[in-house]
Amino acid sequence: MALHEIVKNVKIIDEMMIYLIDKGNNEIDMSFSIEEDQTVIIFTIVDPTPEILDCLNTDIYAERDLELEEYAWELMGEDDYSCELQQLGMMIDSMELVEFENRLRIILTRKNK
Amino acid sequence: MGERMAKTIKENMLIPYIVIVFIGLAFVLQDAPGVFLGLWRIQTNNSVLISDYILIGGIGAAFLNSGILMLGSYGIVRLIKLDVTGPIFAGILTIGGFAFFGKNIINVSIIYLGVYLYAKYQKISLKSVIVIFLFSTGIAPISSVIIFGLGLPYLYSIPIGIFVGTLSGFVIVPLASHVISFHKGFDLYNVGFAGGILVLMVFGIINLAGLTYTNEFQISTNYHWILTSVLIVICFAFITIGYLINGKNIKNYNDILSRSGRAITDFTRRNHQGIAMFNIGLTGLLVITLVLVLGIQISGPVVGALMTVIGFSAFGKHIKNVFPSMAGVLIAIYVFQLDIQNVMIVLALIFSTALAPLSGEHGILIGVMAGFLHVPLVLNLGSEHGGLLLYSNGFAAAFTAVIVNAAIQTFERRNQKWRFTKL
Repeated sequence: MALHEIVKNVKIIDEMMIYLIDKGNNEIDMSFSIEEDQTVIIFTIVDPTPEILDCLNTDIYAERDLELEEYAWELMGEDDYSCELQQLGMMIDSMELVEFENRLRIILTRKNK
Repeated sequence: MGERMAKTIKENMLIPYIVIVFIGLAFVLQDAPGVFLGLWRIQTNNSVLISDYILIGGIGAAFLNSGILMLGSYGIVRLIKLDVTGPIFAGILTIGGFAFFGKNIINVSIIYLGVYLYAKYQKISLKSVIVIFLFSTGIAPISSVIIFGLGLPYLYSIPIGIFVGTLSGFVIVPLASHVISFHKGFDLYNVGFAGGILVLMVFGIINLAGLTYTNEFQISTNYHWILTSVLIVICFAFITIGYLINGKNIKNYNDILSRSGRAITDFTRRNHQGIAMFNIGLTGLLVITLVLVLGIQISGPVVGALMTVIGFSAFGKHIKNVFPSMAGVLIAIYVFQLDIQNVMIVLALIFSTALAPLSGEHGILIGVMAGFLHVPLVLNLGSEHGGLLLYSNGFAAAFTAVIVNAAIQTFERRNQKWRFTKL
């Protein structure tokens, strides 16, 4: 994987961590795996805040926009004006939310191009 | 409207139909030999800001130049299997608009070549740089000036012009990506800022070499009503077709109006092409109405500016965020006693909508202030790039955005946002 793509993946992690912590989630595990054709980033929140599920569904619209990716990753994490994470949504192919016990798992998938 | 037809329109956002109308109008408004002779004059003009192609080549030739450039750009987009999304629509309309005053087949092709070679060299898909590819043509006059404007023998001027133009296209891609963080997406004409930096260097070299070129700075307003009618028809077409595609309602229009417009905001995402088209038509129509109410005569550059607003109404501009900055410019015109018929002032007025995200994010007062500050900046920065940069307002708007943003951040604290003026 090109260094440029690695930097983009790390920025996604960075942006998500800021977002989740800012929403009041204080215990988060993260795992990152580069597979043959995709990269999977998983965040597991212990005791998630009640509103986080709705927030994620509202703020992140996962639809990869390859033509805007070069702009999107440069803008990510720039400030806290727009908390809708629209740039992040443009950089991932899918987002899956799984609730179990007292945890919420967020699975972000990015196809390797 | 049939489902298949709606799907096709969502994919092409009416671009092919605009192209057909423009190319058709070319031969209706001017005789065929005149069109081709005019087209040649346009290609061989030095094309610096402001070169009104309607005056240089004739109304038909200007429409043909615009139609061909939009067709070529659209063809490339479809060739790499992309649909016309918000930013691509903005890019193609911007090219079509500036094809009335500075972009022509020769100088655009040279810049395109540079961006294409960059993608090849970096082994990345042209898809991933297609937005910059389309907007990079704001620096197209560089090669026109070198080839046709400096008075050098063609033996030297053609290869040098192609080389410098291609190199500029090559360099602008990484530059455009990097500089967006400078203004944090609050200047919608981001490539204007990147191009401005590049052009400062090129113009500096031309100056140091003691080379000069002319800038005739003349415009034609003879076709005011024809041009106005064409733009109004386009806007009504977008409103009507957008309304139909959106299921004969505009219930979700508030989704667009609630967005600040800050880059990157593609209104066509989430399958919202219908309502995005409605916004394109309505925003365009209201801005055209304001221009007409102010008694501004429509020339090539003004058509270009209005087409750019129409284009960016799929990529950040809407009826709530464009007018505060325009109001700021009008206040500046009144305070500094500027001539509203001066085309540079008119362009500053229309292109001040590049700062629409500031009012979208921070409210009306901030938008008005940004528009006011934009005027002195753009009028002074114009002389620094010698007309080689077509996106002069985009260049200035980046500075305005940074200044205004920094001022706001000075007073903001966590949970105390400057939003009391927000609509």
